[in-house]
Amino acid sequence: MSRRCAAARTEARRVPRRGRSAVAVLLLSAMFGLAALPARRVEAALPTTPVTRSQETFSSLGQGLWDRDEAGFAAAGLLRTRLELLSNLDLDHGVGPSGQPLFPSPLANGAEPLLTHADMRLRLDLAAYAPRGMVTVRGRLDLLDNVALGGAPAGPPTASIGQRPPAAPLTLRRLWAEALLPFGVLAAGRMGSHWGLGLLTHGGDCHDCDRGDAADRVALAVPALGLVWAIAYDFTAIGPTQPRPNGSAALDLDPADDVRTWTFAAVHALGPEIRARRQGAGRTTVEGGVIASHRKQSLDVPRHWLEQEGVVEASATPLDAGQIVRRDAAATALDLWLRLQRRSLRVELEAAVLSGRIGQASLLPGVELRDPVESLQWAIALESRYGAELEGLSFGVDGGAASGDPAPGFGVRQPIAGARPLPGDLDGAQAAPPRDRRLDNFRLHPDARIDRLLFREIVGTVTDAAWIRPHVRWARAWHGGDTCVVADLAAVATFALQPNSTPSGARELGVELDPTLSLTLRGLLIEWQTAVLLPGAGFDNAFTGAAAQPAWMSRLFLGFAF
Amino acid sequence: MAVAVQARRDDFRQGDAPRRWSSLGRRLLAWGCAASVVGVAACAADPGADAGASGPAMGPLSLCLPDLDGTLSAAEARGYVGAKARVLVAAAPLAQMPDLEGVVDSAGRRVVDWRDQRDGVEQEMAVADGGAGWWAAEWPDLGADLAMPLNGDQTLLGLYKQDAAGLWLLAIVSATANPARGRTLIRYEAPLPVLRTPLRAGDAWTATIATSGTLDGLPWQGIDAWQVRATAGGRLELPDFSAGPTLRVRTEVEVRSLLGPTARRTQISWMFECMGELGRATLDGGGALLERRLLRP
Repeated sequence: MSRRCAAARTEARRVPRRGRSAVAVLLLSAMFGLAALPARRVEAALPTTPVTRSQETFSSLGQGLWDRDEAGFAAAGLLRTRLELLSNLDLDHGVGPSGQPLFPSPLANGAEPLLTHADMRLRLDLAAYAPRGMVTVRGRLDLLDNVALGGAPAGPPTASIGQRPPAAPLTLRRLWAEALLPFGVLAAGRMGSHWGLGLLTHGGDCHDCDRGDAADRVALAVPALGLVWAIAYDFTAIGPTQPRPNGSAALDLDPADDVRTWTFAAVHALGPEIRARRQGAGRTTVEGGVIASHRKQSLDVPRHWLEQEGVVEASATPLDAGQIVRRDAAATALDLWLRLQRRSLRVELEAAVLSGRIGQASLLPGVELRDPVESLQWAIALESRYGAELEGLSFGVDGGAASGDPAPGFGVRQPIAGARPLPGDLDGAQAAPPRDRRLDNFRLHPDARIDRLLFREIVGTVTDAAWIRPHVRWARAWHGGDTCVVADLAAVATFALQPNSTPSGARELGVELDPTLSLTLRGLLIEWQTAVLLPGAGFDNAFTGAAAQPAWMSRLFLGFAF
Repeated sequence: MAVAVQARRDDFRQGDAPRRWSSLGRRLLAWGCAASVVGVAACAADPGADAGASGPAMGPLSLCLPDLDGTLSAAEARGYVGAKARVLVAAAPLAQMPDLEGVVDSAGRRVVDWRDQRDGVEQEMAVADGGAGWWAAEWPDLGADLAMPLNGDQTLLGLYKQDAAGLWLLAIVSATANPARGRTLIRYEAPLPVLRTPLRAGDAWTATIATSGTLDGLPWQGIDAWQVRATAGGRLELPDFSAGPTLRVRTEVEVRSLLGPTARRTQISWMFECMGELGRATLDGGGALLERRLLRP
């Protein structure tokens, strides 16, 4: 098997990443109506270097630290462009009872239901190493992140000869440091977060990913008894701050309104090189781990973050004690990840459960609801493959399920002050206290994808669904792995767990075919992704009687890695 | 049909008391309903509230946060087209009489406990565009911003203008142009201050304004006399939630018909910043409870 090709064919990698508390974030943010978070495994289409492997589990902390005489610096990056055609993603459904379509349609009435898009992003992963191998500082920069090509012409479109620069051309996503201690590794800063298959928290490192979690964290990982034991504290939210009188660093105005997250992990992960060596030797490799994450918030200052989110207009009136509301929120997440590799068989499993309670869900100072909002969410996913990942023919079956909530709509986007969804709507808030005090739909991270159309584009992410996904692959490498061709075909059948969540009330969501053809030439990745969705009765419009019609997409991915 | 219409007119002119009381009662209920719906806009701020569903005016900045300064500002009492509210309405006799005064707890705070006020019928009320109904052709110069239901069956609408000084009642109209019981089209000669903002404990005002038009298809002429007084209302405990500090607004309304007797009602409302009217009790001229309303998230 070609290592270079394997490095670029990132689909093959299933490495547990750093566990974190975003699990609880997911739950809490859902309960507070924030946008959904998180996602899936990171598979950079980048050379496999310690720089780009920074997202692996707690066990990977300290990678790249070795005894060196001089300071070192490493960089890796990927510039990607994506050109897309999207056809009939509204499935000819029309608008739902709240007047919203399933997906945007062309502006011109009667036009072909074809939408186009092209975007780009340059991702840079950087690392600096101190002499004597004790300390490293790492970071991640995204430049022109998902900027639409041709989206900001300078001047009249027909006369434009350039593009206006974006307001925020550079995004610093991560910046953290690691130090090697006699008993383990200490890390601090804003670092990526990923665990297992990425159901709960996803670093967004895959070449086609659009999001990614990062935690402001202090973590300590200690190897013992064949495992890596890790503990992490996340500064999830500190509430309102104020500059010190001397103008230096800000002060947290009230520790009681902080959101605190503790994460514990125990993991046994070997890494791709050791795994490959064991596979080559015919050894069975078992890896796995468990994380437990607990998040708590006693008080809240809703005005502070609602202003930041743009939900309310910023007020000139200084914050005072009257803006504090009791929250009494707590959430706990448990996540188990297992990976088995024996000769040509690989099986990987992740199972997660989240339990949470918000004692006081009101956002209005002075107003208190009588009853708490509670949540119990779960998800499970299995991936398998038989055959070499990147040489010859291989096949497997993936599957899983994510819990649902009986409220109308899938509950991917839960606006803070939005209306309750009506039966037949695609989306909307799942909890509406005091009448509905449950929030039980598990939302997979948006980068934890199982398809290309139905959940990735139309629904937004996987939730309230069960899926089964048989897949087959043919791969071939030449020139010592410098050139690699891979052809994939996957079929995804999906069903709603709660029929109330679908537009029609039927469980059948559809069948999607996802063929892929990719070519890797040293640092160049050319990938053609297509998909055809045959929607099920769940997307019929129960009010107009319109039956959902097929949709398709085609995406050309160009990746330039260095 | 013409005979029937004439008979209704004659009845009215001859002072058919029950009929007039009914009409007056419907009007008296009006302002309280209006206040409830004004509060709807703010209900959106509460995660349990159902507001702004499809209302074009409910933008992302429409959410209002109370500052708990004990003053109801114009922004904290603002209504929005498209806002909706659920109101639990119970007519006397009630299983549990609502406490209208409250008690002062050991910490010196006044608490009005309505947690046992669970009986009644739930109604949904919505705010519509005051300038877009069938009545617009009748009064092109009215200048109404909002149209809100005045009665439980929502057959009557109040047309309001809102500005920094408060909420002003301009007219009362039938919800439809040709209702079975006859069209209502009553206009105030001057805007009537239903709610003055900013509203603080201790504020009081009176207004006496003539009205004219058509009531249930019959000619109407009268005078409304309002006396409003706001005091500190403490914390109001409702079945689903509690809120405070509130303002307790007592409004005494006297409707004098030029063709008949005078009707009196008293309404006691608990108002809260960004939520408007949370609860209301309506009393007759003798002080007996007629109706209780409270807001449901």
